[in-house]
Amino acid sequence: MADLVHTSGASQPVAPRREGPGRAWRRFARHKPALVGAALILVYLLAALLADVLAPYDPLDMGAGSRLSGPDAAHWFGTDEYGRDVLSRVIYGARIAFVVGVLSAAGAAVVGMLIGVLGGYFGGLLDRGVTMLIDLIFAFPTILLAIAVAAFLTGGGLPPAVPVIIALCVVQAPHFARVARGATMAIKAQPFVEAAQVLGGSHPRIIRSHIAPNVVAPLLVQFALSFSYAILAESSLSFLGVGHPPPAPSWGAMLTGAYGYVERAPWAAFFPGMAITLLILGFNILGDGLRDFFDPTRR
Amino acid sequence: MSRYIAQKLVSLVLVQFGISVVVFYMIRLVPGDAVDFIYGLYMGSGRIEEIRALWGLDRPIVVQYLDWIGRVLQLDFGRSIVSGYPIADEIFVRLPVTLHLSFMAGTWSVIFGVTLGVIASRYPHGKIDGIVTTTGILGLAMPHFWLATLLVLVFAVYLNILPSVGYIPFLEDPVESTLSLMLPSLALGTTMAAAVMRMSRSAMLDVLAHDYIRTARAKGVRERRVYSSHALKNAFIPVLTLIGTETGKLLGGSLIIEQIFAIPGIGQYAVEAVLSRDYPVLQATMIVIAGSYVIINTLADLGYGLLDPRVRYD
Repeated sequence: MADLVHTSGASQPVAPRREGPGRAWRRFARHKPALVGAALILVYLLAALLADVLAPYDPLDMGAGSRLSGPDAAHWFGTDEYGRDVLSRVIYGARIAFVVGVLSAAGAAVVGMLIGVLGGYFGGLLDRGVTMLIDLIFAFPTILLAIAVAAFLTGGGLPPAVPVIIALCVVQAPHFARVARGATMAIKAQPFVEAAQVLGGSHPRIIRSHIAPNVVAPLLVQFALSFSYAILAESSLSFLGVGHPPPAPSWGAMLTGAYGYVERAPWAAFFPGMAITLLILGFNILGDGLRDFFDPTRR
Repeated sequence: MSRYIAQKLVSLVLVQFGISVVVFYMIRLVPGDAVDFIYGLYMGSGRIEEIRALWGLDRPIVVQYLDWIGRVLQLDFGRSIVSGYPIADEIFVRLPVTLHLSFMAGTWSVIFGVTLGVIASRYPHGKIDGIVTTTGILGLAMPHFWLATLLVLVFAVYLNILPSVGYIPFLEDPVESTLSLMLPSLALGTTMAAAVMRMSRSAMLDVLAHDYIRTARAKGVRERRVYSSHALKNAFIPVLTLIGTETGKLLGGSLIIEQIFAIPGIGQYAVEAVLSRDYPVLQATMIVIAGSYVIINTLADLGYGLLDPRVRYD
């Protein structure tokens, strides 16, 4: 029995089992909702990349149609208060969402992983400092902190997207740091790390080749969640007037504009909101799927 | 238990101190200097030095912090740059409005979330469970302000049965007051309701799989009683923790909801301060909102410790 357990691979505690890409894909594909999520995101990604080809009109063109006309064959999602085509604006909005989402989640991942791994690996005073910093940022409601940071940074001559991206990095980094710190501490306690230390491996080397690769998986789940949060937060910030200034086709800013005349032209508010909801939905179910995928107890 | 409470209170004070430092130094993020930024466009440099001295900004930064925090501790937040009114007075009027809104939103979330979660756990993977779970996933993905827009469209514009803007104080007219917060609190509470629903469902499923539930059923306890006296109590502990953290998040969400529904709460005050660059107001509202948030989370921790003795011995 003991032999069986050992040869099965999955329960070997020393190093995580390597599995081929084909096998991993089949395991991932078994999780149907995650596939739906990934497909949804892919559609948005294509829209963002091919916006110039897909969008029937220029998103800023105020002469694309008559003002506040309802959805019809020429304007599938109708037009807004300036006669701009809502569908084209929603498509170009995907670009803003992805730029802000990717940059802020990636920035937060790099910063968070760095401080989380260092704190978890070295412990002691450094770790105390890291935990304190994480707790401190968690002490603020995220949207409040994001609004404040973005507001304080705006007006310094930075390009419009930069304050928002920095603000979202600041509020998201602690999430990555906490996950990375926990994972690092768990891996550090494993015999193979101790072996590497006894064999004389330097700290940077151990972190690079033993710790980092094992921390990446749990961070991927966090990446999906952060991405979805960034899209929600960017649209919230733009909705409040702290994000992308008009006439940029940010989904949140489109909703602000449309709210004023929602009785006359509900479509101008409905479609941008739908765009946000479906994309966040995609990331959330992909995140759930990834969590199951990386959870060794569910294999 | 008293040691646990003491620990939590000490960390509460430390975090509050940290918040004040962050909020105080944040104004220094402004490229250049706040005075330059506000007055630089239309005033000469001599006048700007004068204003700096007037606000005490020419003193060492630690002195400025101590002076500021000393006044904050006496609930003196200074005056708004825009209106000139004392900030503390404004906050005393606005904070109860936000708490009222959050309380209503939290109430809906707990009622709907727990009920739906428990119902879904009754027949897992069945039709009802499918509908409830899908609604939950949707609820988590919908942005507050879009849901608010849809609710206004349906209930205020098409059906015309609920008001779409404004707030009536509770003491003035409890019924009208509740109606005025109906749509805002539903829009605000949906995310939390979805989270509570998912947690109640999974906590119930966890508990129902335990041996003592099987024992209860085997000895002939009625299903109703299995739920009410065996399962619900144990499933409620993780749900309560979640309710604690989610209640805190309502304060953040109210920033947006108050703006949409023109509710004169502290969130609206904060957003207006951001838009008009009224830094003293922004600092004050951040301290008060983050402070309340931390207090709510500490209360949730204490409640958790009270319910689950294991937590206290960590």
